Amino acid sequence: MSRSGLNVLVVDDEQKICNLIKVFLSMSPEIDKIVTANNSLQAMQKIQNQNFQLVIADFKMEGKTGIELIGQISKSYNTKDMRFLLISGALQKEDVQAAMESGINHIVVKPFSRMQLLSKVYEVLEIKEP
Amino acid sequence: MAKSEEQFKLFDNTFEPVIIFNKKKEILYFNHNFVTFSKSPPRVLKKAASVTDVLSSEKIQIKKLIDSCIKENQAVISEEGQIQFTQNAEAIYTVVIKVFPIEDNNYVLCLNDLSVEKNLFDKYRDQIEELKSTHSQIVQADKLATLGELTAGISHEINNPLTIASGNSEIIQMILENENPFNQKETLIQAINDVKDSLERIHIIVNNMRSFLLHKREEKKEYCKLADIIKTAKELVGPSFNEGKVMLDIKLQDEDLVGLVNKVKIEQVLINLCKNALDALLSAQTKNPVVTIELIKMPKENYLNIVVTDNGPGIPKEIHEDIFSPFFTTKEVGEGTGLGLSICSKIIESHQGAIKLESEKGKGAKFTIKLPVIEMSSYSQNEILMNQKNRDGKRILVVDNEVQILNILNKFIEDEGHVFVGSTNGQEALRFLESIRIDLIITDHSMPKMNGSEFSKKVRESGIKCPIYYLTSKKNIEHFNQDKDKYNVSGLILKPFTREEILETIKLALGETN
Repeated sequence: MSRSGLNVLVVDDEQKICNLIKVFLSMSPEIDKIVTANNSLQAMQKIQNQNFQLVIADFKMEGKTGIELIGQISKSYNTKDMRFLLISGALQKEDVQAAMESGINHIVVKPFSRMQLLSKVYEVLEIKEP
Repeated sequence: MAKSEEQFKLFDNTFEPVIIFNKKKEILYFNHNFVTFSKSPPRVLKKAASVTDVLSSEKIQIKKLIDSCIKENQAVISEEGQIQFTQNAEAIYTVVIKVFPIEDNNYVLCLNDLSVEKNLFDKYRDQIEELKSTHSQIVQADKLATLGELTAGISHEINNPLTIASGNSEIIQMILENENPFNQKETLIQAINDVKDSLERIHIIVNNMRSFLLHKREEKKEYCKLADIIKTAKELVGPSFNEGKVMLDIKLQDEDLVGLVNKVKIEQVLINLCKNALDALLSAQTKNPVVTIELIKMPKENYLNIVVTDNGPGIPKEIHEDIFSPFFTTKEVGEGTGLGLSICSKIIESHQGAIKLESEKGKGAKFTIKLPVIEMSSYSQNEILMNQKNRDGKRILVVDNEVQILNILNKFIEDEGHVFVGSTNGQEALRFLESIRIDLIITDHSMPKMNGSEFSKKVRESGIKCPIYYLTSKKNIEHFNQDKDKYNVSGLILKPFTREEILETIKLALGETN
């Protein structure tokens, strides 16, 4: 799925984590644009206005969880060309199951290094690692 | 002699072991009980040259006791101590010895055996010690269990700052590997600050957990802002509430309300109540679940109220009485110790307060913690202490809205053996003065609700004549000069003060009244 002009949406209720992911991703040339949102409502609005090839969402957020958000996106949009990454601390077994069912492609465990994040991003987007 | 012998035999009827001897300490007679008690053969006893050869003691100076009885010619009683008999060194008895004169310049030494009582006492003391240590172990176990239940939420709370710290340190590293890192000085500074803030966040969380578990001065009560205690409790249970999507609302009528409390223990009570409410709301799947912690003080009431309310399933009336008993739980086996509320009610009792439950099935639950206002709690607590050690101590009222000042002065004044009564608010202090006589008042000048001048005015208006001292900083010295004669203010203590200055002033002030 190699392509240019990849757009990424990062959803985390902690702005500093959004920023961190943004800095990490902005160092890779394949990624074109990184948009952040602090809750699922903002995220849904941004998805309405723009195409994203990758959504990275935190599991625990005020209001809807990342899994619920991704489930909602999957239901409302054609997500054939969309990939989903969930960010989380330790997950319960049931949560992993729910994550897989909602259409999440991979899970990144907190705390993560830049390489850990990028390798998962590359993996779900099927980009060859540089 | 025969007549005496007859008389001596009377002692065979007594329960106590008795030896009769003359002025030269020669043994004249010993009763039956003495033979059985000492397990010494009569033959040997008869041979003994002197009464002091028969029995000995490390603690009781038997010879001295006898000499003083002979000299004063009146009964003497020893302190409690252990004795042993020359003929039977293995048996040790705890006794009190009484020596008293009888006719013909003879004397009686009689033993009051306390061994049984002593053994019982020791046994009970050991058992009580054991119970005490078991109790504190149980309290600790319950705390651990509570913290264990909170850990999942707390670890998540630590994960976020940890991610920010580790991520930013990676950013710093990458920037420093660039050729000219100082082109990105601002990004660097931002990243370093993010690391610092995150570590600080983790530090606070870990500290809260640690101080909850390990509190060194476990029994110590201090003047604390109750709002701070409520906030720390919220920090600890907050993550669990977020996870369960239950609102935790705090309503503080007055941020500055101060209690004389053991901070960690009250925190423990609040965490327990919140956790119970959370569990109830989750298991009943209540819609729009909310737990509210309110801090309320009604004017003219002698209690501060912390109220924890939830809109959950409520608690049926039938179990209201059981709910505070140990090991009562409605949770599944293994899900809680059943001790939480019993420990809570013990803690509140130890603060001379009360914990009350109002609830009906289907209508939520409301726990009200009532803590006495500080004037009352400091007075009653210190008055009891003083009655135990120093009856000459005086009652000193200190009014200052800063808890640190109250805590320091409390220590200074208590160490001198006086009764310290703390207050943060002139109005409350006046209410207290209506019922209790005070020997000295030390008051701050600048306080939010009623300043020192108004307070002194009201004190004098109500006819109280005890000396008043102002406790103030240099810049407020003119208030003292204005009020000195108007309200008969005796003197001034300048902040910052030393221990010596305070004690000197107190001595001077109390001297005036005598």
